[in-house]
Amino acid sequence: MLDTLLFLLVDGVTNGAVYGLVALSLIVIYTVTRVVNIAQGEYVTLGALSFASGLSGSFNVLSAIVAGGIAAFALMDVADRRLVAAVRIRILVSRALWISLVLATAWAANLVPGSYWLAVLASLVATASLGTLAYRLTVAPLSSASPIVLLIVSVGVYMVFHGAAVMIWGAEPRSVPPVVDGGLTLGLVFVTYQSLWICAFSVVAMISLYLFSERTLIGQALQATAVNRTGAQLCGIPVSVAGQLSFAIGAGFSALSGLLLAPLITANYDMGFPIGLKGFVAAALGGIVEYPTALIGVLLVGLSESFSAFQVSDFRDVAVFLMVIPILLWRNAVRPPDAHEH
Amino acid sequence: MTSLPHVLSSWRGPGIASLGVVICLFALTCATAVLGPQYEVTLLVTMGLTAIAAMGLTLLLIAGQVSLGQAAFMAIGAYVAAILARDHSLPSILALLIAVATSAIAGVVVGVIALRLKGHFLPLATLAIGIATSAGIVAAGPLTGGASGFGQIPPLAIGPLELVNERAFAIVVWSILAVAGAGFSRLLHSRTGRAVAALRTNVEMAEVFGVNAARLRLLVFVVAATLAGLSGGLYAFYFKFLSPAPFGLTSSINLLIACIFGGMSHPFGAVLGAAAITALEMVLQNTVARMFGLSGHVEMIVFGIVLIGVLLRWPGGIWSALQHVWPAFSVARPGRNIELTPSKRCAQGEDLLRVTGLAKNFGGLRALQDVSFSVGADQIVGLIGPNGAGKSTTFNIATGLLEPSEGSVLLMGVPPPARVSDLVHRGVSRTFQHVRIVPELTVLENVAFGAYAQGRSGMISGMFALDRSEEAATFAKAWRALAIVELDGLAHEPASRLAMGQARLVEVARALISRPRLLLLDEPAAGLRTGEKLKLVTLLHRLKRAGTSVLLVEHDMDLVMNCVDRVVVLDRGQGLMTGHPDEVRRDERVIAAYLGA
Repeated sequence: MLDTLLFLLVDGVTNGAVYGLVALSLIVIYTVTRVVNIAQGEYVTLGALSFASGLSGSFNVLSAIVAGGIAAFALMDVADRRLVAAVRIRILVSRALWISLVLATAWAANLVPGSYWLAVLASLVATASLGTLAYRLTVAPLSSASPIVLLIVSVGVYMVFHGAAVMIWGAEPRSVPPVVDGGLTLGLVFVTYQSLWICAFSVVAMISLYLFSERTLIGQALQATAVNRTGAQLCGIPVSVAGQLSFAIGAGFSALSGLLLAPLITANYDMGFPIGLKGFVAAALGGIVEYPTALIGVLLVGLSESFSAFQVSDFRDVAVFLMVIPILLWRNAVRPPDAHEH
Repeated sequence: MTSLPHVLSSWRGPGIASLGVVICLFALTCATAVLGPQYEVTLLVTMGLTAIAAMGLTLLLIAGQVSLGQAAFMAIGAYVAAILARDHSLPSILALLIAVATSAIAGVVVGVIALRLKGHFLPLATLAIGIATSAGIVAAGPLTGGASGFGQIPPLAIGPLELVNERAFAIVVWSILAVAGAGFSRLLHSRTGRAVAALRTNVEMAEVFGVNAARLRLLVFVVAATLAGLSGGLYAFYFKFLSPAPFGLTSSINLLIACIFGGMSHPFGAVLGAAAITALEMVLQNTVARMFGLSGHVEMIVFGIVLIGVLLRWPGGIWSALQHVWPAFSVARPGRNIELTPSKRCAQGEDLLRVTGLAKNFGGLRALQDVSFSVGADQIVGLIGPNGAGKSTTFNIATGLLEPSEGSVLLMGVPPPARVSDLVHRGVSRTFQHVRIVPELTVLENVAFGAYAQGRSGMISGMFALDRSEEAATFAKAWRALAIVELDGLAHEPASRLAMGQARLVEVARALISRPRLLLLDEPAAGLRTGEKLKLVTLLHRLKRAGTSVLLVEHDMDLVMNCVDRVVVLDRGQGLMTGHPDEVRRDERVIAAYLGA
C-alpha cells in the first residue's frame, strides 16, 4: 500500500513539475500583457514536436517559418521613415543575428541527429522566437483593447498553431527516447531517470527565472511593467519589448515542459491543450498573478490527478475543479485583485 | 402623463431601427426555414440557439462581467429537459419550462457565490464551474447517459400539438431570438440599461445614484443563465440526442467568440457573431475543403486567421464596423422647460450635515482628528486645505463610504445609511474627484442616469417599452439639467468625446437631476477653464437660491471665496478654523498652512 502511495506521489510531483512550467508561462504573460493566453498549450506541443524533429535529424520546418517571420517584421521596422540610418543598421544587424541563431540551431540539430542538447536548444530558440512573433502580430496592435478581446484573439492563435502543428508534423504521434533509460529504486519506490530529470530541470528553470527577474535590470523592468504598465512606460521601459520578452519566456518555458514530458506520453499534436488547461487551473489558484501560490497549485493539481487516475471515480475531476471556487473566495476576501483591470 | 408630446419625445432612433431590422431578418429567416434545403434548416436552428445563449453573455459583458462557463447553464437546461421528458414522461413543454427555471436557479446559486469575486477571479471561477459541470455529466452516467450520450428524447409538444416539423422548429427558435433581440436592444437605452452600463464604468458611482449593485449584477447573471438554459432545452428537443461534448469548455469559449466577434456592445452583435461563425464554418467545410481537397486542419487555420484579422481591424467586433450606419440614440428636447427643485424642502434651522469630533485612523496613520463642522439649509460650505489635509477622507466619511474611528456624522439629522445606494433617497448627491461618466452612453443618457432613484421601471418594462411616460419625464429633466450647465449642445455626443471640464459639468448635471437637498462636489473646478469656473460659481449661487445646499471641496481659492457662505479649513488632519471667507482670508494660521511657515 505504501509503495503504491509513494509511486502516485512521484507521479503526481512529476506531472506537477510539468504543469508548473506552463503555469509560470501563463503568469509571466498575463502579468505583463494582460493576455489570458488560451494558446499557451500549443507552445507545449510545438516545443515537443520540434524537439522530436531535432532528435530524429529531420529539419525543423518551424525554425524556417519563424526565421521568415522575424525577417518580415525586420523589414517592417526598417521601413519606418522616422528612423535614422544608424538605427536601421542596428535593427538589421540584430535581426540578422537572431535569424541566424534560429537557423543555425535548427541546422546543427539536423547535422548531429540524436544530440539531446542541440535538439533542446533548437526547439527552445524556435518556440521562444515564435512567441515574440505572436506578440507582435496579435497583441501589440491591440494595446488598448479589453482583456476579453485579447483572450478571444489568443483563441484564434490557438487555432492557427494547432492546425499548423498537424500540417507540419502530421497526426501520427512521435515517440521520443528518454534522456537516459531506466531508473533507480529510492527506498520502496522505483523512479525513472526521466522523472528525476523533469523535476530537476523544472526546478533549475524556475530558479533561473526567479534570479532573472530579481537580479537583472531587464527582469526588474519586466516586473515593473507587470505592476504598472503606464508607470513603467513613463520610466522609459518600452512596453513592446517587455511584451515580446514575456511572450518569449512564456513560450520557451512551455516548450521546455513539452519536450521534458514528450518521452513519457509521446509527442503529438493534441498533447498541449490539456496540459495548458491544467497549468491554467494551477495558475488560477494564485489568481494568475502569484508565482508561489501557483506552485502549490500545480502540486495539488498534479497529485490529485495521479491519485484520481488510480482510484477510479469520475467525480474526482468535478471535485478538483470545484476546489478552485473556495480558494478564489478566500483569496478574494484576503487580497482582492485590482477591480479596474477589466 | 401619456399625452402626445410626451410619447413623441420618447421616440427613439435605435428602437425603431432595431424593430425594423428584427422584422426583416425574421422574415428572411422564416423564408429560408420554409423554402431552403433541409441542411440549411439545421444550420438556422444551430445559429439561432447559439445566438440566444450568446445574447445573454453579451448582456453580461455589457455589465462588465466575463463568464467562461456559460455552456454549463446550457447543459443544465438541456439535460433537465431531456431527463424529465424521457425518463419521467413529463409533457415536454412543462419539462422545458422546468429546465429553464432550473438554469435560472443554478444562475442564482452560482451568481450569489461567484459575483463576490472581483476582477479576473470571476472568469476563473466560472471556468472552473463550467469544466466541473461537463465532468459531472460524464460522471453521473446512470442519470445522464455519461459519455455515451442520452438519446430518444421526445419532440417538443404543447398539448396535442407536436413540434416535429424541423422547419417550424426553426421559426420558433428565431421568433424567440427576435423577441429577445428587440427587447434587449431597447433595454440598452432604458433605466436598467443605463444602470448596467454605469455598473461597468464604476460600481461605487452606480451605487451613489441608487443602484443596488449586487442585486443588479445578480439579475443580469441570472438572465444570462436563463437564456443559456432556454437555448440548451431547445437544443435537446431539436436534436433529440445529447452528449457532454457540446456543453464543454470549447462551447463556452465558442459562445464568447460569437459575442466578441460579433461585437459585445450590442445584443445584435451576438446574432451577427453566431451567424458569422456558423456561416464561416459551413463555407470552410463545404467550399474550401471540397474544392481544394484540404484536410480539416486547414479550415481551423483559416478560421483562426479570420478571427484574428477581424478583431485586429475592428477590436469592437463586426457590430462596431456597422455602427456608423446605425441611428444614434436621441431623444427630442421637450417643448417647455420644467424646473428642477430639491425633492423636499427641509425644515428651517435643520442641519443637513453635521459632523462632530471626527477622527479617522488608517493603521497607525492618524488621517483626521477632531474635525467638526456643519452644513445648514441653503448654505454653500467650502472645505479647503493643502494636499493631504484630510479633505477626501472627510468627504468619504460624510457620505458613509468610510466608517469614522471616532465622532459622529448626521445626515439630515440621522447617521448615514448603511448602504451607499440609499444615500440618494436621503436627498444627497455627489460628483467625483476622478470623473466617472459612462463613456459608451451619450451625454444626455449620462445625465438621465442621475434620475435612476426616482424611476421604478425595471428590466421587463425596459425591454417591452412599458416605461415610455417615465422615460419621457426623465429625459425632460435631463435636458433641463444639461441646459443649466449650458452643455445642451452636446446632448447627443458620446460621453467619451468630452473634454475634462465638460465631463465635470456633466457630472454636476447628473447630480442635479437626482434633485438633491445636499450636493457634495469633489474638486469640481479641476480642469475647468476660467470661463467655465465663472459659470460654475453662477450655477452654485443659483442652486442655493433654489434650495440646495452645497459642500464644496476645492483647491481653487478664488472660486471658493467667491461663492461660499462659510469655509472649513483643514490642515494635517485637524480642523484649523471655520469662518466667513473674509475672516479666513486674513487668518494668519491659514496663510501659514498654505504658504508654509
